Amino acid sequence: MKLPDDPKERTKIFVLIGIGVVVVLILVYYFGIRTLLESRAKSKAEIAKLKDDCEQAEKEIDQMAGDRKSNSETVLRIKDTSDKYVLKPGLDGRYLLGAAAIIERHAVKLGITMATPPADAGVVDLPLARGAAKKTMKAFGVRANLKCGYADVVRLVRAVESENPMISVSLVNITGQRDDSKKHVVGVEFQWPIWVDQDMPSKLEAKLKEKDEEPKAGAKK
Amino acid sequence: MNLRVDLILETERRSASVVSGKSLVRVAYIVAPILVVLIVAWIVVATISLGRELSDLQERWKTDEPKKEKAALLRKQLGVNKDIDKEVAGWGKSRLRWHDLLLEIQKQVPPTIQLRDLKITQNLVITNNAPARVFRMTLQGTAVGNDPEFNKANVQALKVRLEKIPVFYDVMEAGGVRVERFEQPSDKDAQRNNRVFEVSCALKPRKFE
Repeated sequence: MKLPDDPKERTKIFVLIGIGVVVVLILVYYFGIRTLLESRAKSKAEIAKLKDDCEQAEKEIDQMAGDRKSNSETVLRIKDTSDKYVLKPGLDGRYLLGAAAIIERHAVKLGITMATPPADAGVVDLPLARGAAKKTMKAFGVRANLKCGYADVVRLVRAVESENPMISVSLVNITGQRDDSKKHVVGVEFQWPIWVDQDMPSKLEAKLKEKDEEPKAGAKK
Repeated sequence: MNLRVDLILETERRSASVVSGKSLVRVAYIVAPILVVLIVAWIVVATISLGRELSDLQERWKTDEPKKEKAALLRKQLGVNKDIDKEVAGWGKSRLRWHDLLLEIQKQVPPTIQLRDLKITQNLVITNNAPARVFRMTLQGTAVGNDPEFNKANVQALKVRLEKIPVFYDVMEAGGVRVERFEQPSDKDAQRNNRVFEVSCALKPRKFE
């Protein structure tokens, strides 16, 4: 195409071409490039988030073996303590018989006569601190009534306390008698820890079995 | 008189410059579209490449996400179990080995003091935002002797021992040992110079943690 000879006409044509080019560029930008750029920006943000998520996830996955080991050890420790030191309910769901048997066993071994059979001193919930989670243990008290010398009280308390590091003496009442200075009227209350959820021992057992089975299942895969 | 002769017409004039406007426009006709096409192509290729990267990461996330959830669940269980473990251990830490203290009391009471009554009580309270056992001990008895001043000194000495001897010092609240009562017995049969007394001991809270 030959451009007109008249410079004015020529300028007009250049201006028209310029306008056309600008319009085309704007259309290309709006309907092509801008959409692509927006999509790129969105993809970039998504990629950054996914990268972070994947890295975080992989870190957590890497820690799983350690966590699993630590969890197994913790459950085992709790179960061991529970089996040894936490008072279990009898078939009737009550705790007195088990606790009384322990006190009586020690008393018999030490040659101390109980004035009356050990009595139920009740279950006490631990107070909850503000914002603290519910406790999993509470205290069960048993009162031993004796008529014996001071040294016998010490020996009985020592025997019970030494056998179970979680038992606490919650009350002692030693009153001397005028007619017999060697034998006092004694009341001693021992507090045992008990699980709030009576099924806790079996739940711990189940947790441990779960842990044992997990690696086997992993090995099959 | 001047005479002007135009040898060439206005339209026949040519620029003497090496780069003419017309040639620039011609070059621009070719270069500008190529540039635009290159830019668009670069954006398209980069977008496709990003799309692939995104798709790869989505696949990776599909594999990682369930494992991550499992790991998070395990960590939550570990947290719960550690809390239980800490609570269980707290029971041992909160108690006092009372047989040691009872034995020491027996050793520290001089023959001139007859203990008549010994009481230990326990309260479960919140202290410093944690549950704790707070023990209190009360000793009641008679200081026996002909000299009331000597009896008073004996009771004071017992108080000091309960404060200072290591086995007590470690567990007693500072200033927690007090002589609550020191007086002549009201009992008619009792010796006039004997003194009945009561010593109370506040012990430091024993936290369950």
